[in-house]
Amino acid sequence: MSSHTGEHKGSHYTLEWLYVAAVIALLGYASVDAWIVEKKIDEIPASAITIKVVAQQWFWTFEHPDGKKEVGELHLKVGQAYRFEITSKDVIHSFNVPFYLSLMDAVPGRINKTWFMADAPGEFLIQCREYCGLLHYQMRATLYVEA
Amino acid sequence: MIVINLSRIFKYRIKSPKSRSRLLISIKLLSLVLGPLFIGSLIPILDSAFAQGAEDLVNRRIEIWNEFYRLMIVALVVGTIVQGFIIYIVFKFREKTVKQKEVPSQQ
Repeated sequence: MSSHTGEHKGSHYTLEWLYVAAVIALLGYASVDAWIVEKKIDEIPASAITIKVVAQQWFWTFEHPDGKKEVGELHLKVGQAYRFEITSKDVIHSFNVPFYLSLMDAVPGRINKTWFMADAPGEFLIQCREYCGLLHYQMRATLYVEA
Repeated sequence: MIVINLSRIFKYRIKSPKSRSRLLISIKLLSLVLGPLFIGSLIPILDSAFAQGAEDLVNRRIEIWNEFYRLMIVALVVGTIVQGFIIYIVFKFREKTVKQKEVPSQQ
């Protein structure tokens, strides 16, 4: 098909190069954009209050900075940023608040961190998102966000 | 190992004036596509660089959902371009196209 000049019959260099570049540009844009957003949301604010989260078969324990502990429920204030230090006493669990798109593994011997700011008052689900044994499906807690 | 010799590609492409004009058109069109995307990607970087005042709390939930929708749009646009190009090629080089009947026979 190709002649000695390198021209192809019926070829459209403009369209072909545009096609390749447009796809690469869009994928590049998606990568950079995702990287920027991830960097932005991973940064824990300095004003965040630390809550220690301990997972064990099959319930959650939450410890506030003043030493107050809650089991199976967590009370937070609206508009305040909270930093969660998550660990486990037995097997691997995963701390998940679906409404606030928060998900972090709870691993024995390791403290993982995540954070979010509760922006709407109400009751929200906290659940284990990593299969952790017979009663995994019942390993839930309630998040109360108060005004 | 596949080595792409770009200089060789461009050498034969710019031999004829027609190819040269096509190349220029390609560059202009690419600039039109890449320019806004490049500027658009710089805005958040500049925004975060100059926002050094009071602590601005990020609403992760909103940021994540916004990012999800932006990536969905990119995925749909890429899919449309790829599928559109394939349909265009298939239509252009279909057997019934009169222009393509000049292909030399193997016999």
